[in-house]
Amino acid sequence: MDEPVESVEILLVEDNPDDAELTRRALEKHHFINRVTWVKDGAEALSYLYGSDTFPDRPDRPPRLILLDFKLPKLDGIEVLRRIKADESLKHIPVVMLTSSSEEKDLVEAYRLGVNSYIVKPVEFEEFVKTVSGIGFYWVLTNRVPEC
Amino acid sequence: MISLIPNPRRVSLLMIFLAIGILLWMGVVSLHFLESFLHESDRVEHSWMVLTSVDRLFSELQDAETGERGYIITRTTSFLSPYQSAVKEVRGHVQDLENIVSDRPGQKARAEKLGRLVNKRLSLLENGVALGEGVSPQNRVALLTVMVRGKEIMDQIRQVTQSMKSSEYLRLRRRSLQFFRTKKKVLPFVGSGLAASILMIGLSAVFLSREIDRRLQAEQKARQYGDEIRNLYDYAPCGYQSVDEKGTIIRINETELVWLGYQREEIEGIKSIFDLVSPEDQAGYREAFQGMLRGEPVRDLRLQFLRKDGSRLPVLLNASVIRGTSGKFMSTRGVLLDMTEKQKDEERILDLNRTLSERNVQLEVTNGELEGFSYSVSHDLRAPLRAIDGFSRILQEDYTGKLDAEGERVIGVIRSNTRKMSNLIDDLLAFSRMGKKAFSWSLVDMEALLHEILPGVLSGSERGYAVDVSLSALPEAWGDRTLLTQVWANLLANAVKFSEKSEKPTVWVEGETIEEDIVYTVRDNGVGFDMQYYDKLFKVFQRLHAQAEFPGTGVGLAIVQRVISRHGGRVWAESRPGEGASFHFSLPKRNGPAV
Repeated sequence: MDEPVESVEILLVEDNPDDAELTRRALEKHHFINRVTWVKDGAEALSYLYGSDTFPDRPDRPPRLILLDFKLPKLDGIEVLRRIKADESLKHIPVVMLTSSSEEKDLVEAYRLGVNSYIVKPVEFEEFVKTVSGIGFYWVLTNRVPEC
Repeated sequence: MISLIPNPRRVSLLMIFLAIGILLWMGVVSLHFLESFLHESDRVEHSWMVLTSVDRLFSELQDAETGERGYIITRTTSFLSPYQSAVKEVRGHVQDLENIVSDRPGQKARAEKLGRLVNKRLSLLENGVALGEGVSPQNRVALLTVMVRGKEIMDQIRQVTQSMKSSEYLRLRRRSLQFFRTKKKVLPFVGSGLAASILMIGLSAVFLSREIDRRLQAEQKARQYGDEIRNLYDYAPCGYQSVDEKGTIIRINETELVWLGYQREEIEGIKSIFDLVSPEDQAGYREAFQGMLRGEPVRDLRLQFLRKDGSRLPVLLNASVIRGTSGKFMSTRGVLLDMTEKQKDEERILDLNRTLSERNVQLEVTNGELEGFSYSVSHDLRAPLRAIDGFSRILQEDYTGKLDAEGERVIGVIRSNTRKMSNLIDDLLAFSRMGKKAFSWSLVDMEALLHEILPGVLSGSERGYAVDVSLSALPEAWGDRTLLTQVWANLLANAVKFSEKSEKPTVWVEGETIEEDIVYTVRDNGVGFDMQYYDKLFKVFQRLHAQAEFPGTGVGLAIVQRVISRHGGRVWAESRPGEGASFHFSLPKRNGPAV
C-alpha cells in the first residue's frame, strides 16, 4: 500500500440518507470513512467532480472511486455515468453502480456506457456490509489506476 | 349432300349463266333460221307471183283470142270488148312479168321471148279483127292464114308459159325440200336447248332454295345465339359498359342499370361515364381513362359511382379499349364489380384493427405501468427494507447489553420478516420478468438440463440429500432453455420440498410423446394436496400449505404456468393429501422458431 488510507477519496452519490448512512457505516469498518464525500443527487455529483465553489474543501485530486446510485433526483445515475465516461479527464475513475434495481436493461445500459462494476444492494445488512466493504477494499486498495 | 358440293351458290350461278348462254345462242341461231325462212318465203312468194302472172297473161290472151273469134264469126262488136280490154292490159302484164323475173336470167329470157310472142300474137289478132270487118275470099284466105299463124304463135306462147311455170314449180319444190330439211334440224336443236336450259334453271333453283334454307337456319341460330349472348351480357353478376372516345356511354347492361337506378334510355347515348363517377374520384378516373386511350388498360381501379338518387356505389373497375382490325378506336369495354359488401368487410376489418390497435396501445400503457411498477417494487421497496434490516442490526450491535432477551427476540422477528419480504419481492420480480423476457428458441436436451440443475436443487433444501431422484429417458423439445430451466427448477424444488419429510422421499421424472405433444411429469411421494383447492394451485402468491410447515412465496408454480403457456403448452396436476403429487407439463412437438 503506497499511500496512506487517509488520502483516499471516495465519492458516494446516494439520495437515500438511510442507505448513505449504511454505506458509510460499512466503509467505516475498513476505516475509509474520513475520505468519503457524500452528495445527494447527480447534479451535485457533477459539480463536485468539476470543482465548483460549492465544495471549497475539495482536494485537487479527483476521487479514487465513485459509488453511484442508479435512481437519483434531478440528474439520473445513468446520466452521471454517461457524462463521466464521456469526459477525458474523468473517464479513468472507477465507477461502481450500487443499486436496488436488478433490471436487465439497466445493467446492459450501464455496461454500454462503460461502468466498472454493477452491484445490486443486498437487503440483508450482513450481506450489505460484506458487499460494500468488499467494493471499497478491492477498488481502493487492490485495484490500480493510472496516475494523472 | 350439300357438304359434298363446295359452294352451292356458285354452282347455281354457274348453271344460270350456262342456261342464259344456251338461250342466247339459241336465240342467235333461231334468228338466223328465221331470217333464212323469211328469205325463202319471199322467194316462194315470188315464184307464186310469177306463176299467177303467167297464168293471167295466158288467160287474157285466150280471152282476146276468144273475143276475136267471136267477132269474126258473128261480126258482133260486143265480142270485141274482152278483146279490147285484154289487148289493153296484156302488154302491161308482160312488162310486169319481165320486171318480176328481171333478176333471174333463165326466166328473164323466157319472159322476153314471151313478150315478143305476145306482141306477134297481138298483131296477128289485130290483123284478124281487121280482116274480119270486110268479108271477101281473099280476106278469107288471109284470115285463115292469120288464124293458123295465130294458132302457131299461141302454141309457142303456151310452150313458153309452160316452161316458165315448170321452172317456177321446180324452184318451189326445191324450196319445200330445203325447208323440210331445215325443219328437221331446228326442232331438235331448239328442243334440246330448251330442255338443257330448263334443267339447269331447275337445278339452280333447287340449289338456291337449299342455300336459302341453310341461310335462314343459320340466321335463326345466329339470332338465338345473339339472344343468349345478350342475355348473358345483360344479366351477368357484374356491370358492363362501353363508352366512346369522349366518354359517352354507348352500351350498358341491365345489371349496372339496376345498380345505378337508371332506365336504359336515360343513359345510352346521353350520359357520360364521368357523370357517374363521384366528384372525389374524378381526377383519378380521368387519368386512368386517358391512360386507357393510350393503351394502358384500367386495372382494379376502386371508385365510388353515383346512383341516380345521388347515393354512392363502391365499385372495382377494369376496362380496356376495343380497336378495329385497322387499329382504329371502336369503343371501350368496362367491367364493374359491386364492392359494397367488400367495402363493408374492409370497414369492419379497419374497425377491428382500430379497436385492436387501441387495445394494443392500452396494453402497452398497462405494460409500461406494470414495468414501472415492478421497477419501483424492485428499487423503492427494497431500500426501506434494507434500512429496517440495517438499522435493526445496528441496534443489536451498538446496544448489546442494553437490550434484554425480549428486545433481542423482537429485533430477530423484525429481521426475519424483512428477509421474507425481500424474498417475496425477488420472486415477484422473477415472475414479472418471465412474461417479458425475449424468447430464444433452441432444441433443448432435457436430460442434460436436469443433470445440470439437480445438484443445486437438492442442495438448496434442508434434507435434499435424503431425496432419491429417479430420472427416465426424456425426449428433447424446442423451447427457451433459460425459461425451461426455471420451470424444471421450480417443479423439482417443490417435489423435493414436499417429499423430503416422507419416510423414503422419492421424486420421479418422466417424459413421453403423446400425439402432437411432449408431456413431462414430475411425481413425488410427498404430502400432496387437496384437489378441491386445485384452482388456486397455479395462481401467484396462492399457497396450499402453512408457511411454518413448508415455507414459500407461492410464485414458483405461477412462473411454471406462465412459461409453459408462453411455449404454447399446458400445465396440470393431480394429487391426494398424503399420497404424493404429479405435475405435468406439455410442449407442442411442432414448436420452433418458425412457428
